[in-house]
Amino acid sequence: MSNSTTTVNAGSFRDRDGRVYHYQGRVFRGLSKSALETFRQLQEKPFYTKLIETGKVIGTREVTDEDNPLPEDVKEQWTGFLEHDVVPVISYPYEWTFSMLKAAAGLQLHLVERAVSNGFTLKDASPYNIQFVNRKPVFIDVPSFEPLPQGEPWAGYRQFCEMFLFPLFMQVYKKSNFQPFMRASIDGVDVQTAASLFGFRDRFRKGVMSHVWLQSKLDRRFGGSSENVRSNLKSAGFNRELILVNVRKLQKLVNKLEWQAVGSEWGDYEEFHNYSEDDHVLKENFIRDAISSEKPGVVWDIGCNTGQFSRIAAAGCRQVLSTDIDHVAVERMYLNTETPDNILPLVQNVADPSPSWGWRNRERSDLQSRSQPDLVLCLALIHHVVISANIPLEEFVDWLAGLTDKLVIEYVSRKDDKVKTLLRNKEDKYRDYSRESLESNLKRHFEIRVQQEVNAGDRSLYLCVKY
Amino acid sequence: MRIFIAILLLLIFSDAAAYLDPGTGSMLLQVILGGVAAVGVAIKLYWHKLRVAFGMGKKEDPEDESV
Repeated sequence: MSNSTTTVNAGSFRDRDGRVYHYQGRVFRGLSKSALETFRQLQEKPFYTKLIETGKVIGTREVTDEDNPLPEDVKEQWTGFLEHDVVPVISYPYEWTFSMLKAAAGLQLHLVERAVSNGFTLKDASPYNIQFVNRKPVFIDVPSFEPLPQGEPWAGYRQFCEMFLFPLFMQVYKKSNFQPFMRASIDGVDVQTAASLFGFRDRFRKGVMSHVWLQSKLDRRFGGSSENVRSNLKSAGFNRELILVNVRKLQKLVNKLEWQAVGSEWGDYEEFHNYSEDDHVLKENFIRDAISSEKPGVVWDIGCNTGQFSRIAAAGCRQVLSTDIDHVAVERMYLNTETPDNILPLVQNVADPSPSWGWRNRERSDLQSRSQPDLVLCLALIHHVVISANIPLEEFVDWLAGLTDKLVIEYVSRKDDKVKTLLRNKEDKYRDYSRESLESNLKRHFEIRVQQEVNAGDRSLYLCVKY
Repeated sequence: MRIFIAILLLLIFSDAAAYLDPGTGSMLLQVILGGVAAVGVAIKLYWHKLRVAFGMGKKEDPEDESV
């Protein structure tokens, strides 16, 4: 399929007219004859140039045969090649927060509106075609643009509903986190499922009557019809103005969807953390010193909460990937204007992380395949992993050692209020949860370079580096 | 307005068989969502159907598929 330095992107198979290849950190896309012609046409259009200039579409250029470093067997398969700018960390909609999905939906609609107004369209509407670069959504699937044939409806409308609109509805109207649904089905929340989730009362909420209820009814009624609806629509005079009316209404609808990210256990951490001011400064300084001495390129902050320590790390490294189980906390981090651009905040449960799945279990990959940390921050997390998620401390440390060469980890003793709360209704079988156990497990993999006691010894910070 | 177009559309086509083609309903919905601009399209769809029913129109035009 390819030689050792070229890998085929396992998620790019759906479009028969192209394929994505990774080569030495660069991203190329092979195109068929027709897709290449379409790209050349598109490139001439001022609307497309503007989308590129404003960063809404990923920087893309055609590569000549001489400048194409891909092996001959790959080159032979396609008429031409594009090179795309590299996205620092690939992320998926089930890792995004509400506002990230909403921003991605806004971008998708903007692209359709611009394209259709200029005689083009987008052949699909998948959030997997959108990535976050510097905390802004960027469209990466350039060959999705194609000329809009006369009389054609918007091909991506249904997919837009299933992969953007219905998940957003679920968060706003049902107060139910959308991420588990997006991770359960690679095609999102299908129309019939949405119709069963939104009851009679929900039909009167904005957008539900037409996009959910009516769509499901029409679907059931006409799904088996032998009519050639496409050609009927065309001969009845369906035109792009109808698409634009629908898209502009959808833009207004999506804009008005608001989710109040409040009331979680951790979202208010910064206001109610367990530290005195002095101890807090000690902890911040410890992290600042660790970052400046170890000089990591990529830092993972696992259990980042609203990201106050991610921000310290971000000042001293290229990229921070901040993850937390709490949707509210991550949402607040994403919306916080003080969050630096080189932080990507994602919703992620360390005990139930993003899997490799989809076609051949390779279409979407786990987080470790998409980003490799040089240093991991694991602050005030270990009690949740060991006590709440029941993961043996030894296994957790082994996992961390497989993930990173450098680690900043915080131990929270049993005297700490948070630990007492976690244990209050549980039989305490956590004999492995002790300072001695953590230190001996760390020492199997790491040298403990620096150690700092905080909160009068209730908590300890360790900077560990692999032997 | 939407209700009017929806009723018109519901009158046009026969009921569904077991196999569901996921696109058809969503395509028709786009006529309803097209608002005022779509009334003409909906009426034409209805008219076309009537003509077919009375044997006056051609049932399908395969040429139209290849756009």
